[in-house]
Amino acid sequence: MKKSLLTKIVALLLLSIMVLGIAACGSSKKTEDAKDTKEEKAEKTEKEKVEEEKVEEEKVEDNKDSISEKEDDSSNGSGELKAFKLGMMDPGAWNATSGPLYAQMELAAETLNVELVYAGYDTNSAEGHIAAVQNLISSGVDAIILLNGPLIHGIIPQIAEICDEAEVYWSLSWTKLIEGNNDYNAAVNSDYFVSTTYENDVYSANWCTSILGEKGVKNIAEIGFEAGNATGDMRDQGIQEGLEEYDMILLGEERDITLTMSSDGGKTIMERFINSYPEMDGLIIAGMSQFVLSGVVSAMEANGVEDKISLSCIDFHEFQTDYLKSGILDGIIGGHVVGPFYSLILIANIMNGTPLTEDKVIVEDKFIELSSHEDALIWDEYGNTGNIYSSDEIEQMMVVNNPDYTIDDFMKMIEDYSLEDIVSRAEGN
Amino acid sequence: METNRNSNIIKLKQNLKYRNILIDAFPLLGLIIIILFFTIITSGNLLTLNNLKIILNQMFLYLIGGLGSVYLYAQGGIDVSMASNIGFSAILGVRIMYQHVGIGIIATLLIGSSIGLLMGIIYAYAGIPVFIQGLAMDFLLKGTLYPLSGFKASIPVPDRLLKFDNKYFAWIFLLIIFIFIFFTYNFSRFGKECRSIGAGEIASIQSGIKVKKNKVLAFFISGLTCGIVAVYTLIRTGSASQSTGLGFNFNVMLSLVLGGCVLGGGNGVKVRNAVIGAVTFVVLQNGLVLCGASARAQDIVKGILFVLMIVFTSKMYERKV
Repeated sequence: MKKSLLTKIVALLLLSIMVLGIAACGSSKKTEDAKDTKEEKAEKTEKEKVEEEKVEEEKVEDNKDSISEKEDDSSNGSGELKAFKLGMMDPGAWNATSGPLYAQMELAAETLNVELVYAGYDTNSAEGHIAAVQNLISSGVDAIILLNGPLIHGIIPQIAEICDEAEVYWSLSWTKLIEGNNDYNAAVNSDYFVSTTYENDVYSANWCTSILGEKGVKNIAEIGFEAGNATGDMRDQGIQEGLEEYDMILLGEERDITLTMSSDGGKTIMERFINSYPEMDGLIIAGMSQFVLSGVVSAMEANGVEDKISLSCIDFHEFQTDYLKSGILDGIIGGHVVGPFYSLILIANIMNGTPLTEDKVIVEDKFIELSSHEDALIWDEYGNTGNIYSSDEIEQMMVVNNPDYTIDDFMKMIEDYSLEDIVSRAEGN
Repeated sequence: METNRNSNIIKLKQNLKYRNILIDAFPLLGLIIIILFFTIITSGNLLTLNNLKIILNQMFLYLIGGLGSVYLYAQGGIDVSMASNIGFSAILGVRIMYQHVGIGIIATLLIGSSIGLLMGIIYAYAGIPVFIQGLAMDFLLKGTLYPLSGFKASIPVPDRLLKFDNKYFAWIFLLIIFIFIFFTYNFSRFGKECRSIGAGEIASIQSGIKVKKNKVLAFFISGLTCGIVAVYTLIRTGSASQSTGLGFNFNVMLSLVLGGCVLGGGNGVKVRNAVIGAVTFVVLQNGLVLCGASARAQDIVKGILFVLMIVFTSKMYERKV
């Protein structure tokens, strides 16, 4: 028996070593590249950097000349893009909100010769974020895009310090920086900070309230973020403004994170609301609809209140098209998934020696508003397939390919983002 | 005949000795395999000086947390309210630090240990199951975090606190804690009694061990650990928020399991579990990112390793003589 145990342990060790060997052989090239990049970076002296900048400038000039000489080539994107490694926080499990984000980022990365490295942070804590940034830097990334803004408020000065020390460019997404506070000052004073994108949470919640208000709803309940969440606070403000505008009453709210992050939880919450507030004729899901909406709908159908209670939500859901078609859902706002993509365009231009601007870019990431079945079908066609911006369009956002592309074009593109804009660009108008 | 029997007994004893050594060394072997694996797959990037510094830096909190929890785990207990205790102590502590940094640090330690003490008293004298009590305390503390933070997403720490961000000081402090816990856990009466309670509470009571007193003391130490983690987190992150310490209790539990800790308590809980576990946990997290594994793959690898480790430690501990 003892011998048998020993044999098993030795066999396990040998098996592990064999697996190690196979795995190591399979990935040696990739890691060698990463190591080279890192070593190159470490060895880079100031003098070399200046020389490199000159070469880059010459390269841009050369590109400009060659593009003006060969107009046909320029329209096809003839510039050679520099390969680099981009670290990104994992947006989480694939769902209607994070899915289009993954798809758009991966299409852009493939088009722009970028290797994407994800860091999964286990706890969503401040400490977890810092550890994830350090691990990404250690893996040899040239730039990092951080997500989930509300969770990282307060640690931006530390992230700025870490990235500046490592000479790694960094951007934020879904993060509103308030002018004058520590986070804002740390970001704008960081040499390597590139951009932040944020959504207008007051607007999105107000839109949801107005969808119900226009239908004559008077008594609503809310499913929202836990108290103290910056995003949740702004959305509450938007709802409050809507309540006053349409003379509505907020009967009750549920913010328990153990319920608001699952379909089962959504069903439980809705059943409680239906039993506690017989007068309720509207519900707003002010975020995380991707988790709770199907449970809420299930409870509404089971209790036969789908015609009595109107429903509007923030954050897209995979069954939204069906729900809008059946009429159980009155409106849903989301699609704010292109913030990281915008950051990638800014970073890619910097990495290619042709920054779109020397300024830090702080820009609002627009929402997509769906209030009909037809709207939802359009989003299904373009948004869910990662074709919000096509490969050809992405190529033309690089100054190396398109020397006429400016920061104004970039900002206009962000400003124009809407369902109509997506359709119009796809149809080539 | 008698000689043969004696030689068989000696052989059996020797084999048992080797087997026990192997069982004890299993978590360390696991760590060596993980280090080897990531060293090869990252072409040595894992062991660069810069990355080693990052690993050391990241494992600091798990080491403190693991070391401070060994008494409780040895008794077969667990503190699932550690995360909210850290958040609570950090938010309240940072508010006091604006009056005086030194007093604020002491207050943070006192708040953490007071919550631990309260938990210990309730657990020992009210007889509530440890997990349920932890959950209840977790909800209670979590509910107060938002009002305590002045209804803000985060509170920046006073600049003077950031001057304490000295890694040498931190590691000397950790070394002192390690030595203290190593000796008290292995050689003091309290340490032995903790293991005895984990092995059998009723037998411990019958043999005259003051079980209730020991339970209170173990929770007190766990609470004090939360205070220390809160102070270090404030220094490291520069702010206190509702997400301060989030998930810490689970990460400590996972690192202890990876270090070979037997969750049932008793003699299967060792100080080295905390050390090996913290290193394994951080190397695993760091290595997976370094080798460019996708986020999904990272979760799968971690899940498989945790399950394997729990199965191996429990099965092997059963076989240990």
